Amino acid sequence: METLQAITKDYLSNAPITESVTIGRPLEAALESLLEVYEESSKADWDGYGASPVTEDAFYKARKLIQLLPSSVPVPEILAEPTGEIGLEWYRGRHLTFVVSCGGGNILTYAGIFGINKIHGTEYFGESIPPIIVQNLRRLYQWSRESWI
Amino acid sequence: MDLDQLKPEEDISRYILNKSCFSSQNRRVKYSAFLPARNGETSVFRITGLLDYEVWEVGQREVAQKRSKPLLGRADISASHVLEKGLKVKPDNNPPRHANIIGWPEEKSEQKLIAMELAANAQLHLVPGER
Repeated sequence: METLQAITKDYLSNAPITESVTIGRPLEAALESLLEVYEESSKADWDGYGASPVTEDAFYKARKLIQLLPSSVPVPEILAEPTGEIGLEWYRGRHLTFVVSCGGGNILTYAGIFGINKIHGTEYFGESIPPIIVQNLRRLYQWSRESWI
Repeated sequence: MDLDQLKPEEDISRYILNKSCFSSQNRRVKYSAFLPARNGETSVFRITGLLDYEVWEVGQREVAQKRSKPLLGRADISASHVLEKGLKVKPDNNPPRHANIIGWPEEKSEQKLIAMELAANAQLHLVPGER
């Protein structure tokens, strides 16, 4: 709990992503949502089915990922996964959705449904968002009826 | 209903205890509802043959109360959708009508994709009053 309080204090006291001027409130909303998810999921068995707690490392990785998102990308829905990872979900419909998850370490896992096309994989997450993540976000939001096979 | 042999046309339900698992705004189940637990299994109940209020009673009695967490909703899905993804639904009847979705792939990203597809085919039902 002390660590959580420290995180909360750090978040509230620092200017939230000053380079977010071009994004503004949506980014702040995403970060607030992230903090809320973290607070609710930082204890073992948070889902009632034995889920692992979301770690501080996962929280900071997710926060970094959100901060690095292109300003043209809509704010994702943020949720916790039973493995303790944090998921960022972009949902446009039952068959048009993309998810990126952050756990501990420098690994992102992702999965996407684009009509009948499906993808999934793992990418290293260093100082920038892996290109394939950005490509699939653009794919999601550039999807048109003509793209359906 | 024969509780030993699962039929593909049966309906199964995943009881939801956390709001990360659904969107009330969009009235949809989120993929996290179906992701397996650390033991590699997703706990579900077979609900074919039950009236709606009985389905809720099972969720309250066998899931929520035993875990001391509020029941928020449930995700109903046909067993056939689960089987189509290469998974299995293994009844153990402990408690009655309980089963586990098993056979998940090892790779987390592949688990995620399957869970997304299951969520896309599931029906969200919220506990009356949970909106």
